[in-house]
Amino acid sequence: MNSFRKYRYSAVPALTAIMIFLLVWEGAVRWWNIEKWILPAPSLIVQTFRDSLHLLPAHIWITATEAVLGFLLGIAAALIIAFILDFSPLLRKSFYPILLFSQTIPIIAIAPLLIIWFGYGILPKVLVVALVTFFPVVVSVTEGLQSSDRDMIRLVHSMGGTSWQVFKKVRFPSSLPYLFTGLRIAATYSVLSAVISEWVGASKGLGIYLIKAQSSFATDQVFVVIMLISLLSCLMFLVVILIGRIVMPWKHKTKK
Amino acid sequence: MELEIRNIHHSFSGDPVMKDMNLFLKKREFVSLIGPSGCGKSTLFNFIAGLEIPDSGTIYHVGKDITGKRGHSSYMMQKDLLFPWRTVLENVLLGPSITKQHTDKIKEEALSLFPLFGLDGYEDYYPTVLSGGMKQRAALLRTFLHNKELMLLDEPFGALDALTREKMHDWLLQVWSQMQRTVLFITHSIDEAIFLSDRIYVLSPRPATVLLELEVTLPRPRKKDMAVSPEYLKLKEELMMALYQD
Ligand SMILES: Nc1ncnc2c1ncn2[C@@H]1O[C@H](COP(=O)(O)OP(=O)(O)OP(=O)(O)O)[C@@H](O)[C@H]1O
Ligand SMILES: [Mg+2]
Repeated sequence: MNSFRKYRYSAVPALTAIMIFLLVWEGAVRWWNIEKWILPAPSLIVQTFRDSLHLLPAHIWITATEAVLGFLLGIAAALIIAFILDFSPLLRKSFYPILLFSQTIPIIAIAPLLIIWFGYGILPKVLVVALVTFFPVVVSVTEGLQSSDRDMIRLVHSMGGTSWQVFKKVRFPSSLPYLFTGLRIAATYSVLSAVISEWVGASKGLGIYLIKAQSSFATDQVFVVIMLISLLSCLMFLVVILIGRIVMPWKHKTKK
Repeated sequence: MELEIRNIHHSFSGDPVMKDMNLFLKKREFVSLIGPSGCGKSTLFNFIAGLEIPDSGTIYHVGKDITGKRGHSSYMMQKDLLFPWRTVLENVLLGPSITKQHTDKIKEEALSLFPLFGLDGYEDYYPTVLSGGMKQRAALLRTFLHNKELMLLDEPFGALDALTREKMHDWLLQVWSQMQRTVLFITHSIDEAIFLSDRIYVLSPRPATVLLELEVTLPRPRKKDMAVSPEYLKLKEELMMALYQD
């Protein structure tokens, strides 16, 4: 209850700033008579959004599906790899540096390759999203598992605990904040990488919609799509934060 | 004999911390270790708990060699080490959850001890809200509920005020006599050592070795007013002489 009030008040300055920004934008476009293919006014963007409401859901659905499936696949792969690397110091020493290095490969550049291998369907896009989200998660979980308190581990050992119990009771819970830092980063990448992977070849999705709008100079449509992409990313981000609060109640609550 | 430590020598990267350490604990005895900071007391506890292995020497638990073996004692480390993701109740039940003896009975026992430890009302809170002294008491309760006969307590009352400390002394002695526990206790307080112990070992500065073994002849149950008896003062003098020699 209290925190709701806090959020509401902290939102007031931000909302005011956005309102002022939009008003200035609207005023500038009208004052200088800026052509709508260069910069459409906010009111026109809202109008275009309303007019294309019947077209948009199908595209949103495809892109959201790619982003969510890819995100889940990326997380699953990242967790499995991170746990394996954690249990074997030898594997960690040999593969972790490669993993870090491979982050420099622009995954988007791999998209054409994936299209060649897997065709124009949803699969190559899901794989692109999975690859993009995989890295921040695998890196943060590996760091998290390595960074748990040494003395807490010793305490569980002194009680006769096994390595598995140490993992379950100390190392995994203390890696959760790291995991969610990785997930927040990955969530913001997921929608964006779905959109960009569609540019390489697709028939539906916000990425394709964006390209079509751009090639016909429908700048107002471009703005609509940008807005939708931001909203989707925001939504993913919020869901991750919400799950984080459920999984780690001790981070924001004093009592169970 | 509950615990026997024979001829332990140890160095950390060539730097000796323990030299010919010998000590023993009889069943149900309360023994204190007192010695200068950094002399190797916690290191000795790590050996007994099996967390580290000494360069040479042997540790026997009820006649069995347990050098480097874990799970034979309840160890309260110098830090409270409460897990932030567990509530206070879940924290104190860590031991039973590891030894797979987590039953409703032990949970009830834990809950019934909360008032005595000044923790009642905090069962479902996360440890971040506890004060330093409360954290220490929660750690002590966790050690106690791990339920091993041999308890290793590394300065368990270091962060407590004098009043709470005295309450905990009474409680500890009561538990110790009722529950058939054997206690090895590290402290920096001579008075605490005399009040609680059957015997006291005074350790030398690093490398640690036993300087003095002293039988505390005061009768039990111990009373706070014994602190002015001539017998008490004589013990205290002897301990101070050993601790502050040279
Ligand atoms: N793992 C380690 N590696 C190297 N040196 C260590 C290690 N553990 C402890 N030491 C050193 O050994 C000495 C004894 O440490 P220990 O923690 O046993 O002291 P202590 O008697 O418990 O001191 P205090 O009363 O301050 O707690 C210290 O000088 C410490 O720096
Ligand atoms: Mg110590």
